[in-house]
Amino acid sequence: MRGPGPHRDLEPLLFWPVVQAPRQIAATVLMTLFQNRGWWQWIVLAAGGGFALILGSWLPTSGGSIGGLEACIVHVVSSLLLTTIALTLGARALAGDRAGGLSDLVMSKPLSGASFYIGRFGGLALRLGAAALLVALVGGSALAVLSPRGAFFQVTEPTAMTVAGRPYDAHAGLLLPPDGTAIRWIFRDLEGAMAAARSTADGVQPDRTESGPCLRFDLKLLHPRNSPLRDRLPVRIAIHGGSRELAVHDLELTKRREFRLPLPGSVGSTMEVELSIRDSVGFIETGVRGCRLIHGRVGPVTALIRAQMAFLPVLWFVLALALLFSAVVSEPSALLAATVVMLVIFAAPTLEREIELWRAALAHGEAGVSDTGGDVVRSLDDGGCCEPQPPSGWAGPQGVAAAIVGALVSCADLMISALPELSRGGGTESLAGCECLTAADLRRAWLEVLPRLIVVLLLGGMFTSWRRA
Amino acid sequence: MSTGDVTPLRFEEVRKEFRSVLPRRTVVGLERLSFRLRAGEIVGLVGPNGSGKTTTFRLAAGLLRPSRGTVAVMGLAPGSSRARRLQGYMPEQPGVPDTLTPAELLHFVGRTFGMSRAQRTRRVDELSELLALGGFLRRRMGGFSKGMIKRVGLATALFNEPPLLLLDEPLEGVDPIGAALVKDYLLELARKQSAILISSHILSDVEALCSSLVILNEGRMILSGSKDDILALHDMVVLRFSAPNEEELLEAIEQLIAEREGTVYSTGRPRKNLEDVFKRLLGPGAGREPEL
Repeated sequence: MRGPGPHRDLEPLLFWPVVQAPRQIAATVLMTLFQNRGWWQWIVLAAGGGFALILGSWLPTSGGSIGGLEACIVHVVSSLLLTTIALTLGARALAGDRAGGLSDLVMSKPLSGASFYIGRFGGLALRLGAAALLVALVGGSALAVLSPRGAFFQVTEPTAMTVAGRPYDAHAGLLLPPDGTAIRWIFRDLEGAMAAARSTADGVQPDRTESGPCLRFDLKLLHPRNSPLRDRLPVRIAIHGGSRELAVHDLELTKRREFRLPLPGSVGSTMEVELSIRDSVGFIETGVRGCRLIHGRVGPVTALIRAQMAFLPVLWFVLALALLFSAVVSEPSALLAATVVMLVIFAAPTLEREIELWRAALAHGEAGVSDTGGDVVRSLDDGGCCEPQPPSGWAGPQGVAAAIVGALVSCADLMISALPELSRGGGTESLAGCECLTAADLRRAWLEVLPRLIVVLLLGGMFTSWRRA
Repeated sequence: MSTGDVTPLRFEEVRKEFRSVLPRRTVVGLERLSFRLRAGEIVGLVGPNGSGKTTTFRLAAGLLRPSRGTVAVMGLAPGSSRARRLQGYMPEQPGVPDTLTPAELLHFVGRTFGMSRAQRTRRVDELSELLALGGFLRRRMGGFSKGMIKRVGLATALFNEPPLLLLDEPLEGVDPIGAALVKDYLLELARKQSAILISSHILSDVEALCSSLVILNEGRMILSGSKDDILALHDMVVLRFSAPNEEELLEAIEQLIAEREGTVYSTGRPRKNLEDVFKRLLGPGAGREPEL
């Protein structure tokens, strides 16, 4: 047996959480999962959380009566609401454990405070999350009936725009035409931008790779892997100057594309670029971070993916906060466990991206090459639009290390990123008369959702009664 | 801390303070408490409410740390994982999850000790039989009586068959049959060299079970020692006798005491205690004509 000394403190700090904690945390999570005190509260809270998630992911950010700002508020409020609910329930559960004597009973066993608190919070978060996911799934699949076309795509706003090599930022953001079949961006003051680019007085050099004045911008397509169309979306880009159609390009929109559109000599001061889904009647729905193109029929799997995508970040966030909270209230070894879990949670998406780049680079025989600082290179093709080149962003172990460091930063970023969206109202602009969901659609949605919700509640009630019997 | 110390429980000059921030004040829960609990011994911790009994138990279980002094379980710090494997603690109010069954809770406790499923199942069956939990083992604990919850709490304390048992009011609220079962089992454990610290407001239970006593008042130990020493009233003698002409003999004895300037406090016939009556009426072999 060891005498007193610093190593006696180090042992539980370093090894105990690794060897013992997972099993005992799992035992506590199990215990908490089956503890159904105040089941009706859970149903109400989970139902609220689930519908907040659905609304947050489905509300249009432009057009209709609900704008981007409201959608952002719904998102932020629902996240905060769920976080608050989870923390409150967790704190109440722990206070109840103390007052009721459960913590004395359990913690006199070889179970550390860290395991107990993590297990309790983890179990609570899991229960809340599972219930909210169930509600989101039921509601999401019901709402999916409303939009019979749908695979999940999200297109960000144009970024990194230049006119003839000169920075250009006079666009109007995402616009929805009244029929809801396309996304439009309006570019303003192009003549002024071209005149400025032609001038050498300000020291700006024209882009030598372009034969003439050219509008260049990036578009990013998010979550293409969840689509039946995989990572390529056939789209049509039409350029309008005033009332005339100046050019039409049919191409496949990949995960990220850079577009270089030669500007016709007769372009006016305003040009409109319209992105629509080719060979299909598109349906457009806007989200918080951009615009979603819905294509194809939504089945249960797609609905599941949607709900999952809307839900998972919130669950991770709640879990991370719970872990941090438990680390604060219990012993230091919890801090280590919490840090590891948070790293995994927040590093996972970044690592996944790195691995994706690595695989893509391997496929093109260029693994290990990193001459563009991780950016994706595009070349001109297709009448001004470009085809993708092999990505070369894999930076090896340094990239993984950077991803882990980045994950730490993203913890703070997660909270901060919501603020600008709030202030700019989702970065969208409405056109008069554009609507994604009408009041009739919402009524239909409720009619679809309510019977399913009642069935779920009845099943939940029967299950609870059976458990109590 | 000494590693060669095999004393199951040792308190040495222990002081425990409770500090509150708002309002800022310090309350002394225990002051200079020292005693030892040896293997095979049952020590009763008695005292009025607020005397520091539960604080003593929580210190021994490692749920509190002493402000001063030393608490050791087999020479180990009570909060350490190894010490917790050697002890079983039953709080005064064992909180049990309402919607779990005793079997589920006991399996959870077994998991914390790293026991296999087969080991846990065997132990659940043993304790179920011992504490008469059979009919309740698969029922949710939400509607359990206080006595039944005590039995479940006792089962959690006994689950790992620890050499040191810390039982805070284990018999409070337990019916006489259950209490008799528990007391018999505790005496059996003591015979097997387990050390048991027990507190109870039911002094007859303490008297029946314990070989030593520690009496607390307002956080201070006012008396400790073997039960026989403490219970012996040195200025009084009790004479129990039977004789054919007992009334005459009793008068003669009283007269003799008076002649020697002594005082007779009471005379009367000894009574059986209520527990015996309950056992005869409701215990094993009940139904025979009670012998009152």
